[in-house]
Amino acid sequence: MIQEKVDSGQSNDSTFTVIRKRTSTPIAKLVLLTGIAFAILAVLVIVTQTFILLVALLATLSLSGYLLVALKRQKKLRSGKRIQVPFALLFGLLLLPIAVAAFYSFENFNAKSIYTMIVAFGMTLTFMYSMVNVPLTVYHKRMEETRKMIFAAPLVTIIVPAFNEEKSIRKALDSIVEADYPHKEIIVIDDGSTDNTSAIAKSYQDKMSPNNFIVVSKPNGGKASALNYALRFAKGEYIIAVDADSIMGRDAIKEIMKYFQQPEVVAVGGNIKVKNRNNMLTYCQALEYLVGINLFKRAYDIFGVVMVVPGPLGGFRKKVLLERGEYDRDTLAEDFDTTVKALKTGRAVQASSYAMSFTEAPENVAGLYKQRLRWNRGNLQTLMKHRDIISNSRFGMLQKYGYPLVFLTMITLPFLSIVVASFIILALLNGEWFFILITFLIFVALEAILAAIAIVMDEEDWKLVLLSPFFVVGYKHLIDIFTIKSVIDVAFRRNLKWTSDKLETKKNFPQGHE
Amino acid sequence: MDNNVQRSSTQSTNSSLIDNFNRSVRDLLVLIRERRITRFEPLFERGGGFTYSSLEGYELWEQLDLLHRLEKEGFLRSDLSESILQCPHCRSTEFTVQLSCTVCDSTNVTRGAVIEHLACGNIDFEHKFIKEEHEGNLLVCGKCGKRLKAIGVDYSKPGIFYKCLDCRALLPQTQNLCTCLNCAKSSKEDQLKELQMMRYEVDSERVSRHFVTNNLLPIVAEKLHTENKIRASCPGKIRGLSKVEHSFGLLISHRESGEPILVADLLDNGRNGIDQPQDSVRILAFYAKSLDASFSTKNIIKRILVIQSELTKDAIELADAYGITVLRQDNADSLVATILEIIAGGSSKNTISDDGLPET
Ligand SMILES: [Zn+2]
Ligand SMILES: [Zn+2]
Ligand SMILES: [Zn+2]
Repeated sequence: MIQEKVDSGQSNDSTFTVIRKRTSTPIAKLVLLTGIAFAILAVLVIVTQTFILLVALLATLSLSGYLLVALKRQKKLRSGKRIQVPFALLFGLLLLPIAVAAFYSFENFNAKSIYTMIVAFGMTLTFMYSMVNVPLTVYHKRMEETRKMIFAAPLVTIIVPAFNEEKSIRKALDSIVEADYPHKEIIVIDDGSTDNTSAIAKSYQDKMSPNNFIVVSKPNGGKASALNYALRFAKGEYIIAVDADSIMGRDAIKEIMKYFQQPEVVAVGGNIKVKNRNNMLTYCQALEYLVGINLFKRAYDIFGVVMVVPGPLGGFRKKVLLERGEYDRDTLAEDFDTTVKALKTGRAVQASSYAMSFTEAPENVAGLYKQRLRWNRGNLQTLMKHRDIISNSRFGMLQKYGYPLVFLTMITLPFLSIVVASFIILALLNGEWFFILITFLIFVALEAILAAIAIVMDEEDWKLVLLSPFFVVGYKHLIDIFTIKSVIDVAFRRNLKWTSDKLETKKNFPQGHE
Repeated sequence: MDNNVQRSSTQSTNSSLIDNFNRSVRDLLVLIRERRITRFEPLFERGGGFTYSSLEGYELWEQLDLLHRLEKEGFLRSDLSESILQCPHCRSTEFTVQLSCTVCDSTNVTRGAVIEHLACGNIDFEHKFIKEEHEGNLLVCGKCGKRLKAIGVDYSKPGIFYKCLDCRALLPQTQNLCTCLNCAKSSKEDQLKELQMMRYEVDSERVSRHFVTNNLLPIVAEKLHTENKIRASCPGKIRGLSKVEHSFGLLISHRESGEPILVADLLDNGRNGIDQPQDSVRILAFYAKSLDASFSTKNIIKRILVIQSELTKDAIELADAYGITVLRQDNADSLVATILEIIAGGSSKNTISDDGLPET
C-alpha cells in the first residue's frame, strides 16, 4: 500500500492524506496458503499410504478446477439455468471414497486397517468439503476486490426491529447513523417493548432529519411481524434488516448496494462477526463465523445461492419481499426461510464480506446450546418446508448446489464426525497412539491453514489461528452434538416450539466448518 | 497583586461615594416598597451581558455593592444564580477567546473531530482517515493501514480534539487565552476572576418593619423638649371643633398657653397601591384633621408632613396649595433644625388665613 502524504500543515482543510489504491492484493498470500493446504493433504496421503485419500484429493482438485474453468468461461454465472454444474460429480465425490473404502477393507481385513481407514477417511472427507471451496473463495476474493459501484445511491430503508433492547440499541443506532451512505431511511419498530427502547430510539430523531428516522411502536408479535409492519412504512426500494443488538459496519450499506446494481440480485447477506471476544468460547465462535463466511459463503456467493441472509444484517429488494409474502412466522428461522423464498425466484442471493455486522455471541456453553438448538430447529423446519426444491430442476443452482450442501452440512457431516470420533477412541484403546497423533497434527495444521486463509481475506486477528486444535477436537464436537440433538428433536418432534415471540435470530448459518 | 490594584482604585473613590451610597440604599428600599419588588435576578441582556434589570442606571459593580449591603442588613436573602468570568485587571466581562496549547502556550492551534483506531491506538482528525472512493469513502488508519470496520467495535469518535501546529501535540482540551476587550490584557482562563451573581429574595416583612420603626418623630419630639425646651409631644392629641380627638405624630404647643403652634404627621407614603389611599387623599385628610384641631386657637397653626419617599408632582402641588410644609425624613437633627426654623420664622409661604382656606 502506498501512502502519499500531502501535508501543508496549516489548517484543517489543507491537511489531508491521500491513500492510493492497494497495489498488492492479498491474492498472492492466499494462493500460497491454498498450495500449502493441498500439500498437507498430499503429505497425509503419503503418511497413511491410503489409496482412497489419493482418490479423494484428486477428486477435490478436479471438481474445484472444473468449477473454476467453468467460471472463467462464463463470467456472469448466476443461479439461473445458465451453467450445468455436475451435481452427480459433487455427490459422487462423497460416495466414491465410501465405495472404495468398503472394497479396500474387504480385501485387507484387519482391525488396524479398519481404524486407520475410517479415521483418515472421515476426517479427510470433512476437509474435502472445505477444500473444494478454497480455490473458489480465492477466486471470489479477487472478484470482490475489483467490484465497483456505479454510484446512483437509491434510497435504502434500514429496519431495526427491537424488543426490550434498551441496553444495546444505542450502539446499534449509532452505527447505523455512522454508516457511510448518502440516502438512508431508518425505521425502528418497537415490538411491544416494556423498557426504554422506544424513548432511546426517539432521541435519535434529532440526529437525522425526522423524515428519515421513524420510530413506530406496535404490540408484541415477534420479529417476523415487526419486519412486516416496517415494510408498510418503508419508502426505499431496498430494505436492509438489522438486529437491534448488533453493530453495523461503516461500509455495510454501500457494500450491499454494490450488489443490487445487478438486476438479478434479490438479496444480499452481510458478514457477521463476533464482537464480544472475551473467552475461549466466544473466540471459537469468532473463528467459526470467520471460516464459515470465508470458505463457504464466498463459494455460495459465486453461484448466487447464498443460503442464509442473516438476521443481523441482510438486504432485500422490497418488491421481492412483498411478492413472496413478506416474512413468515411458521419457522424459528425467518431469515433462512425468507432467503430460501428469495432464492426460489430463480434469481441471485449474494453475500458481501465487506458489509459487516458485529454481534454478541453466547458466552457460556448453556447459552450456546440454547442458541444452536434454536437455529438448527429453525433451519430444519425451513429445509422441510422447502423440500420441493430437491425435485424441481427449475431452481437451478439452488437445487444442485445450495440446498444439498446445506442438507449435507446439517445432517451428514455431524453424524460422520461423531462416528469418526468414536473410532478414534477405539483406536486409542487399541494402542494406535502414533497414528492418531500424526493424524491429529496434520489436521491441526490443515485447520490452521484454513483459518489463515480466512484471516487474510477479512484482515482479521491472527490470534484466532491458535484456536485451530479446537476445531479438530473439542469445539467441533460440541457443535456437532448440538446439531445431532436438534436433528433428533425434529425427527421425533420432541418439545418443538414452532413459533416464538422472543426476537432472537440465527446470527449465521452454522455452515460448519468441517 | 492584581486584587490590591483593584481595591485601591475602589478606595480612592469610596469616600465620595459613601454618602451617595447611604442615599442609594434608602432609595432602593423605597423602590422595593413602591414597586413591590420581591426578587433581584441577574438577566442576560444583549450588548450588556448580565445585569439586574430592576436596578438600571447603576453600573454592574454598583448594583452588586448595593444588593450586598441590603443583604448584609437583612433585607435580602441570596443564593447563587450565575457564575461569570471577569478580567482580573479591570472589571470587564468581555473577551476575545483564543485556543492555546497546554504544552507550549502557542495559539497556533487547530481543532476538529477525531477518530481513535482502537486496534493500534492511533488518534487523529477524522479527515486524516478518510480515503475517498468512487462510491463514498472508506476510513483507513494512517498508522497501521487497516480499514476501519465499525464504530464501537474497532474505532470510536471521542469528540473534538485540538492540535498544536507548533509542537504538534494532539490534545483533548486547550487552555483558552482570553484577551480583555476593555484593557487589552491577556489572561489564561484559570487566571480570570470568578464573579458570582446571586439571585436575591426580598424579605418584605423586614422591609415594611424598617419603614414602621423608622419614624423619627418621637426622637424629634424628645430632642425639641430636652434640648430646646419646647413643649412638644408625641403623639399629640387635640380635641377639635367636632369634639373628635385628633392624634398627631408631633404636636408643638405654646409654652404658657398650651395652644397648638405646629402639628406634624409622618406620611407613610410609598405604599401606593390598589388598597392604599392616594397620597393626595392623605394630604387632604391631614389638612382636614389639622383644620378641625386649629379651631381651639387663634394662632396660625403650622402644618408639616414628613415623608419617607418622594411625592408625586401633583401631591407636592396639593400640599403647597394648602400651606403644608413637606419635609423629607433624612435624620432627626436636620428635622429639628428645620422645625425650629419654621417656628421662629414662620415662612410667609406657609401661612393660612383665619377662615382656614388657603390663600391664593
Ligand atoms: Zn491503526
Ligand atoms: Zn504546543
Ligand atoms: Zn481588562
